[in-house]
Amino acid sequence: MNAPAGWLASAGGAALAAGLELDAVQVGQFMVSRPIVVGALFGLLFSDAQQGLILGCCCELLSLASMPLGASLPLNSTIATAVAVLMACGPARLPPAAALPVGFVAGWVHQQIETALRHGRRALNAAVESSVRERGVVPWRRMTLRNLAQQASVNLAVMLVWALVAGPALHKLWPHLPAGFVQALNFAWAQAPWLGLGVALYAFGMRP
Amino acid sequence: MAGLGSGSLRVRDAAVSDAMTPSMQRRLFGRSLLLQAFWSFERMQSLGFAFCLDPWIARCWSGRDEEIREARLRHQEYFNTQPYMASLVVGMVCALEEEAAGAADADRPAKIERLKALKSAAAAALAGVGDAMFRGALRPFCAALALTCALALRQRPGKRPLVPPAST
Repeated sequence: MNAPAGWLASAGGAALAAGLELDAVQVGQFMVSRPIVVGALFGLLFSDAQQGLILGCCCELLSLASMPLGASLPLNSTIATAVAVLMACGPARLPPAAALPVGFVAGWVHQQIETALRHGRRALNAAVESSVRERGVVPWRRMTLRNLAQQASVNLAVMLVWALVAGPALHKLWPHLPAGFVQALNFAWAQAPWLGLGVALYAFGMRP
Repeated sequence: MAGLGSGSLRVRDAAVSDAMTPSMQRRLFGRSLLLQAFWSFERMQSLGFAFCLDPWIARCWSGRDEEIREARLRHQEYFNTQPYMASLVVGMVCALEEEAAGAADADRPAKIERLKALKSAAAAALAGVGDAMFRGALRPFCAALALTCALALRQRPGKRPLVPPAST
């Protein structure tokens, strides 16, 4: 993939992830936002379906035991996978050993933003109540569209920052990292599937 | 008595009201997919539930503006359940709302209290069942199945191993 096409695919991938992430909580929960699906889709987008699937499987296994029960909000595995595959297969490539932890950092960043968004939605409750009391009706269509657009824009902004700013910066930084740190990342990457298998076994035995 | 579906597969159920037409069912189903669109830490799925139920409330209490207002307000309260199980609560609340709307004025407050109690009890119970079933069992099972398929595909000669070797 040549450079302009690669950057175009990155921007397209960011938009795709922004849309897919809505499926995780807000719209439908059809499971198209699961890491194994996102990884395969992003791999296809960057013409490396194998690498995408490998990273998707790792992210799926490692996030299998985290459940959004009640008010708990685990890190966003959709964004984590999308960023990991983008880093590993996009125009500013990183080795998968570095892409996977970078993806999880992106998922953690999105989790913090999502927490703020959910706190912010408290105002909607008051707005709906006052709308019912004053006019008897609620402008559901406008509210729904605005809410979904807000979430999608946040997703897109996070993805674009990682794709167009953090990705190239990390790509330039990677050769200058200490050898010991690189070795540690490689060791962690080699263990990731086994660690994921452990998480899967734990998830089978877990009682929510 | 209303039917669901069409032709030879038409299902008839005396408990299903005339007002619950297939188009209303489709509307409620479509809206139930957005149950968590307004998720907040304060009342969790309450706005999504109120949004889902809104067309049915407007139909049940049709022509009684004050009752519609009260019905809309009572579904603003805290609500949280497993999203896949929420449609059961929606169906139950639809039946109870209709029952309350059709009740005599003297009986209505008791019916509404019963509706509220059943709604919160069903939400909590179904959340436990749904989380254990979908997130605790089905999701790990499907992930394990998908991973097994991926591993099997990688056994073909010339393919990159799924368990990655350390690289520099």
